[in-house]
Amino acid sequence: MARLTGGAPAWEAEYVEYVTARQRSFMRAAYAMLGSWPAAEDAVQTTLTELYARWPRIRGGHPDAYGRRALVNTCIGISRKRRREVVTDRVPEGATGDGQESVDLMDALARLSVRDRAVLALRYLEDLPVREVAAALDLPEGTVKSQASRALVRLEALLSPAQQAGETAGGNP
Amino acid sequence: MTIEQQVRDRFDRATTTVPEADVAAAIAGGRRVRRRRRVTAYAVGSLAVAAVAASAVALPRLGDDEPRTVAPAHHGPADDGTFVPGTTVDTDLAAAVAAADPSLPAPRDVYPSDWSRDTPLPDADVANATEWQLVYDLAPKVELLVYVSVPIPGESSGLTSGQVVTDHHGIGDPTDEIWFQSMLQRADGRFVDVIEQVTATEVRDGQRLRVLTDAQTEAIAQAPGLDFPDPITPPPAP
Repeated sequence: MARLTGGAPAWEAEYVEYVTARQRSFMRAAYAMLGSWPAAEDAVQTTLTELYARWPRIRGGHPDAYGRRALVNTCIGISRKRRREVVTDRVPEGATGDGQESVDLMDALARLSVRDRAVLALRYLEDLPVREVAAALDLPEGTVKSQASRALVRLEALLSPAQQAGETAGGNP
Repeated sequence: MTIEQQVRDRFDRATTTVPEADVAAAIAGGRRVRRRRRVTAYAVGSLAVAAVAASAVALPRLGDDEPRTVAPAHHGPADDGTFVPGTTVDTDLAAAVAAADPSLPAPRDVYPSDWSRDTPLPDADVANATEWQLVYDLAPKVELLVYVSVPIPGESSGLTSGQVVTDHHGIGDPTDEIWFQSMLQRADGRFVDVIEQVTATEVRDGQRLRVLTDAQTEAIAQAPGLDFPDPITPPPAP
């Protein structure tokens, strides 16, 4: 059956322009959620394919919102499938070699739930407003705020356990 | 420095080099998805068309964004169980699927087509088919589509050759079908797609209603004998 009339559709160039501009952001968010570049690449590839398939419908609306939602859902699906692998794969393959610090961050992120990682990735790493994070995760804004706050506290504790323990013991005002 | 800023800084340093997505593969994959949606829209729509008319009928927006004209349904099985005169591909394919899963009923329809059209090929052009499709009624809200195709020249699927990929996803906006799909690109480059289509709006409802299992769709995708001759004169690549 015909896939598309007359070869590449007229909107394809627009799609290419969009994904070229957005792929880095998608890849970073997927990496934050999955802790592995190969897994992030799989998730982004799936998302971009889905975006293409839906592009005629979403191009006039909010492709960012659709794309983020698709990406989050894909990452959650991948994370569930490879839950055990994530634990051993949290040190990123092909990492940039920027030392223990970034490894610690990914290690700490890997100890959070994938939904917490999604909130953190969108809210703090991609700097999205609460409203857009809520749209991407299909959550009320209030839930995003509380979830982001709790996840951040937990991440902080994981990143600085000694400091956190000291502050708690010392009862800092 | 706030914890938010610390996390941002650390993450920025961890992602100074980001792999690039394969946009060409995404386009090829997206085209395949769109193509299959159209195919399925035809397979579902053809029954309705057959019920109301014996001539071509325009069906508006069959589950996708582009209106299209759908031909009458294929003529269905003859008394001897064949679908397309002058070839044994139809019965060979049906037998291959039956061997892979004896629990399946006989197909409702088996027909050839090619990548240039939204209709079955005329019987006289069967030697030019670039794809064959088998449609099964599994339950009132459940259909099975087995779709065997040669790759369009230059097409890249993003699949790993010889490895079956199975996924579940909603179709339509809002979702009105759940697809349980096993996909395979074989070593010879040909594709087999096995799609159990369930009329439902939620995956969990689809799971409840579906007839097959992932193991069954995967077995069908890998069935020996899902083959047909190379097209003698294929149409120009779209």
